[in-house]
Amino acid sequence: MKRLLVCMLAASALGFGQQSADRVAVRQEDRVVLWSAPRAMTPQDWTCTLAGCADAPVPPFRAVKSDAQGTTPKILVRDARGRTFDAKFGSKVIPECFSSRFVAALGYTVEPSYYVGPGTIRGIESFHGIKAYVEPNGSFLRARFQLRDSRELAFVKNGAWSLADNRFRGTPEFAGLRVVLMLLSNWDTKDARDGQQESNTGTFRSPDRGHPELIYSFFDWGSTLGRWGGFMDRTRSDCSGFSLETPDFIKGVRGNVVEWGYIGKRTRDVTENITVDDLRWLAPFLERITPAEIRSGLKASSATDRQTACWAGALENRIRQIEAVARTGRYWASSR
Amino acid sequence: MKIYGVLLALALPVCALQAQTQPVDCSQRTAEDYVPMTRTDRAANYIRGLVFPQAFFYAGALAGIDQWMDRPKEWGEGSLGYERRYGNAFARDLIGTSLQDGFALGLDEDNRYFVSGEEGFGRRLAYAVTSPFLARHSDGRRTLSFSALGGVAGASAIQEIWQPRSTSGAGNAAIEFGLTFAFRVGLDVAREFAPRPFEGLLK
Repeated sequence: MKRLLVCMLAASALGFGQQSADRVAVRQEDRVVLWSAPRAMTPQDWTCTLAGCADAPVPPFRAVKSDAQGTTPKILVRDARGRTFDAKFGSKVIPECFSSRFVAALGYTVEPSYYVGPGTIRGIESFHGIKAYVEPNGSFLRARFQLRDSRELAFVKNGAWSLADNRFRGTPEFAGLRVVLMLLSNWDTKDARDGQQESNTGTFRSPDRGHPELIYSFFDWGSTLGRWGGFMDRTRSDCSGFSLETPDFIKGVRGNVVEWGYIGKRTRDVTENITVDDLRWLAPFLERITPAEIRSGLKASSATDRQTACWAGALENRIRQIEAVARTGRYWASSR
Repeated sequence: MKIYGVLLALALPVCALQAQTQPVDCSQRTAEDYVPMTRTDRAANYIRGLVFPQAFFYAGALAGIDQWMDRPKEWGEGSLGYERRYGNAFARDLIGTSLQDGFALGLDEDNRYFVSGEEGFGRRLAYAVTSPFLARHSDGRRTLSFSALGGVAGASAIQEIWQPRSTSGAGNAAIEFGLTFAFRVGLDVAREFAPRPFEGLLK
């Protein structure tokens, strides 16, 4: 009887383990990727995103659909060239516009986000939930427009994955993604465990049939560039909070494992088991990004001169901390 | 005349260097950093306003003012009098904050204080003194804060329930309303000009 009970417990534990495993549907011909070697960024990439200025939204804009779900309201708009964009307003504008450039520069896939403002969206009269950001005549001050009908990326429905358990766990590419989450203070690390609709992880499919690719992505970078922390402390688009927490970015190195100051919604899954070797893998890609490019990206995202100086200074400081650990394998407070 | 020319020639590069090397102040969230709160941010801000140590500090300060003015006189002096006034101030703050944040959600108002980021004593003082009466909207406009006025007025009216005779009535509610805003003005002036070590206390 006892044996039977032990067997049942073991079987249920195994079943539970399987339930939390990576369950993204992969076709046989798919090449599954999380990261690809980034091409050298041009100044235009920092002002117009990797998708280029040709894909930038062109007015006039017409509202297609509203979406009141989520923390900030958004609407689907069509531009003069018939391209579809997801328009968001409020505190996620600068974070998402800048972070999408920064993350793409490091080789991770994210939908391109453009800063638009001020502007006008026609046909918005019947939409509720956005009146705080958009005047009744459709005029708005600032928005982030995210390309929705990309020629290179097709969003996969129900493709959310877990930060705790996925096919890339243990690889430097996945550790690099987690470092980038911390580098930009992205505390909103919801994943498949929070539900397919709530998750900020997802997959994209490359429409190119000659090279079928299933791309794993962390796609929501709106809760960045502020303070990390718990429910009461965290902020977004807060350059002073971002600067003040920078000295605590790396707390130390124990053995070969790096210790971080970061706190987010999935702190352990983001911070644990990132090694000095992982930083050595990421550091060359960070080194390629120049201070001028960071400033250019921030300016293109509508940051003021002071905000640009604060965010860029803090971000460069964090990168220096990573480089110091990658170079020496150790961490001193003077690395800050 | 020559000496002025020499002095000017020496001063210009120094001024140019100062302008170049003047460090940017990243220590405070200023008015230009304003971004609207999401509903979750509002919930966090409300809870923070009620349970963070500052809430107890504010109630203590308000109770201290009442104690100093011996208002209401029925509550006496000494530690027992202060305890009653402390409870009164804390309850009033709890009600006021709840009403204010509720109204603010409905009216798309944001009553948080952001340091002006301006230069010049007069401009900064004017910004701080007017701040308790103004609220920001999601588009960044600043208008009269109906939520702050309504919240304080509501709390001043509701506290009449437990006030003794000497501090009850419409006149006393009006005094309470005025005192609360006077306190908020003082607080915002302190927030604007506070030396760095005290910033945390005043958030």
